[in-house]
Amino acid sequence: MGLPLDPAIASMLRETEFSRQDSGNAAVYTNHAESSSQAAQLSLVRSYGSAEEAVRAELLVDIYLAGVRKGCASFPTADSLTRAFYMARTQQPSVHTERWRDMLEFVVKVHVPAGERGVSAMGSAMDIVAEMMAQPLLRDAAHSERILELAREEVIRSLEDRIQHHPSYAYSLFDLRYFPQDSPLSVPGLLDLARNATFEDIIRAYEGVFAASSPVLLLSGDSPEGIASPVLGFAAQSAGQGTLPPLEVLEMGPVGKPVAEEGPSEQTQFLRAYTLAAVPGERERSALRLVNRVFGGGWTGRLMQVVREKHHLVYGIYSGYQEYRNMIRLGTEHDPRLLGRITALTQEIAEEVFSGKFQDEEFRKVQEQAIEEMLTARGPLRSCDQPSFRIDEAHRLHVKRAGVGLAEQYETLTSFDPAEARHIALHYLSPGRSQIFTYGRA
Amino acid sequence: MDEGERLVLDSGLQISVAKRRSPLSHFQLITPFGGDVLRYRDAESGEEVSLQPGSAHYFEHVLFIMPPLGRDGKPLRWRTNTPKRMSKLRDGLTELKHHGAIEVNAYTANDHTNYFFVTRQHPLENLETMLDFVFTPYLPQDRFRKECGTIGDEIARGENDSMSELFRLWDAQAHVKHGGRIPIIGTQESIRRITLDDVLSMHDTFYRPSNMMLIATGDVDAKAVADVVQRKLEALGKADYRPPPGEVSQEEPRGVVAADNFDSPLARADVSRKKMLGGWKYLLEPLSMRPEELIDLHVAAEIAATALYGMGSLNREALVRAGTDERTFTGYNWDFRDRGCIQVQGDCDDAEGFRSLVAENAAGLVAAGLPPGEVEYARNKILTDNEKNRESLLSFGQMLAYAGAQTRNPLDYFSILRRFKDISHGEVNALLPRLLDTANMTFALMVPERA
Repeated sequence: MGLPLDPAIASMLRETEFSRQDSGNAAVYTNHAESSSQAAQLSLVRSYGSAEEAVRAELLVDIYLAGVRKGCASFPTADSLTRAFYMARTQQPSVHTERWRDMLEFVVKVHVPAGERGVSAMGSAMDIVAEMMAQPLLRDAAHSERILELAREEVIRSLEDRIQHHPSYAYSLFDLRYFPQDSPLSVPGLLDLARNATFEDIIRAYEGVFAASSPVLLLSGDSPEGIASPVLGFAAQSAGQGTLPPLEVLEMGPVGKPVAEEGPSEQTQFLRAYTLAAVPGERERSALRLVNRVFGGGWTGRLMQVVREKHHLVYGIYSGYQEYRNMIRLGTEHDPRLLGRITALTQEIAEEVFSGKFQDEEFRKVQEQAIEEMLTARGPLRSCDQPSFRIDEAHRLHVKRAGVGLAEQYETLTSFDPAEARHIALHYLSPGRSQIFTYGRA
Repeated sequence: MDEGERLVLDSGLQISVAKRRSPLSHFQLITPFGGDVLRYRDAESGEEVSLQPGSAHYFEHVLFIMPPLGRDGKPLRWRTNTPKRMSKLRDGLTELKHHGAIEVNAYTANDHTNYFFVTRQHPLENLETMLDFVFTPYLPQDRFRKECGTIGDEIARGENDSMSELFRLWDAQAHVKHGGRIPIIGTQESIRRITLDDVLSMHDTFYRPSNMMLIATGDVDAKAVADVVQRKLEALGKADYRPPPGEVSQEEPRGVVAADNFDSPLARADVSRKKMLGGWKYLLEPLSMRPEELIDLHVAAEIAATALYGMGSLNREALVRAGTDERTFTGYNWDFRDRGCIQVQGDCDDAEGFRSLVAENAAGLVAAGLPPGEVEYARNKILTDNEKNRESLLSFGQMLAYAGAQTRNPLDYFSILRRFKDISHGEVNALLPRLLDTANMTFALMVPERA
């Protein structure tokens, strides 16, 4: 027996859905939201055929965008550009890239207030964006050399900073080793690329994004049609509609002995991946999300309750179900002397949970929590009535093409009983199929 | 904008309610007991009492502990709330999560500790649970001591982060006597000196209702909230007024411990470039200043920091032209109950040059005043960012919490917002000498270990 459906939740989740009505060369998804703000996100997406090509293109486009942010004809410094947006009473739109696999996305994301004020602000903001993109100092012969070096150095510094943040660097080393099909270049490799890129490489990469990209415009607010047109003007530069492929599941390959990478982290960064026996379908994925919650998906998960609350060994330890990498991966950082205990404890917990040794009540609690948390998103906490929440969901669904809509997810999540979840856990998860990866002082 | 309402119960507990259209509600229970508080005046004896660094934070960790349930499903009652050991303990975080709360947590800031949750379901029942564990310390002795392990790891994580260490160093250089010179979390040594008796005494002192604020935002009704709180305080025997602890001046002098650390910079193997953190501390006197004066200082400090170093300011643009590193140079202010700071940071090859440039630029602006256009720009930027942040119920609630910690009235957030709109550039400039006092300036340098 599953849980009863709550019509209030179903209704709130349905309100997050977007309807599609194309305009010119762009796929346009619109959602009506009664909120104090409105949001628009334009995504220009193209496939590069391989992740390595896409990574290279992304780095070069990032250098280009760092250069663009240094100013344009009317606003000749980074400060004057920022100032122009704030004097129009909007925050500076986020113009950036995102990448997954061989897909590269050029994103323009704008938040404006609700109502007419927002429509007017969107017009002003996109006028400035259009000018900064059309006439950047980077392309002005009198400035281009200086701006290019500034931009290049900025990207180099951000890459160096990635190495210096120990927890996230440990994750990137893990990805490089086990998912080269998604993360084919190391940070030092990217640094080399950034140092050696020519002006022509960078221009070609930027223009290449537009040359073969598919534009998708996501709009949410109280007047989505009103905020659409200034963004659509920008989308017209791109090639036109193509079909975006659904996100496919990658697999990690056979696990092996623990791998230890040496680095200047005084704490040991401890990662452990449990790979799945096969690629599950959508229903099984939903069940595995719940099993991961029992394992270590939050404060109430076993990892935190045992490793932190019972043994007081670490401040935090969590696991995540990486659906598109077909594994459950846990992460923590700890005193290097505790490696043996952390290894043993995490294994004990995995042995229990993955073999279905959890109480019905424990499962019901995480099921109810998972449903409540569907109504919010973090970073900072946003609720499903807000445009920014809805845009992010629409991006997952219509741009990345990952998974199914929230209303459908809700129906699936409520339908599980603990016995079915145990059965799915036993089928897909094995405590013996794990890979330990650590990063820190030898 | 509906600014909400404020009630004060007989116990002295303040309740501030700001209703907002949302499927969620957000409750925060706050004591003005933060990491900076290392001394206070006992309300009964009138004596001044000293605390171990890290006390407020240690307390935040253990206050979630709840007693086990009996066979009837009700909490067991014992002769003592501090048994030597006890099994089947509950924790407030899990209790709330299991009763529909979406986000549950607590944090210790410099000037307050905040227990909070966000929920769609059972808001008033969940509020009762939070009142239960915050107002009733249940601390088995073995469990209390073990928390050192968790906090010790939290300290080690902070020390493993280079920027955290640079901020810690700046605080230690800037503050002579103030509690802000020591990290909120304390040190590996100080947390081991905190005893159970200390903690119980701290609870009796800082967690009495007259010293606390409850903030409710979102889909909430003020009267229903007040009724629930009143009933719960009566049930816990805390409905009568007991005076709050006395705030004592930290007697922080003008001046700093060290103007810089250039002769002995912080050297780390995990940084690749020299990084500088510099700036000015400023002192507030909440015991003698009127709330309007406090608000004006907070508002002027944020406007000054934004006009001086915020992205888009003409002054920042000038500093970049003069040689600061455009990619990393930035500045901002931090504001607490009785102190604040305006800080700049950035990569720098020439530490002396960086300091001279920043110091001379600031001294010039103190003498000449910020131009009206720059105050206007800072005002626009702050209000635009604030409007965006208010969209998140959690962010909105936190802004009320920080305002409440500074002035003791969370709804002063709205007064602060109004003041951002109408403070004149002359009023901001009049406060600049206090905010950017050269005697209160210090610079902390971090370098690669091998350099």
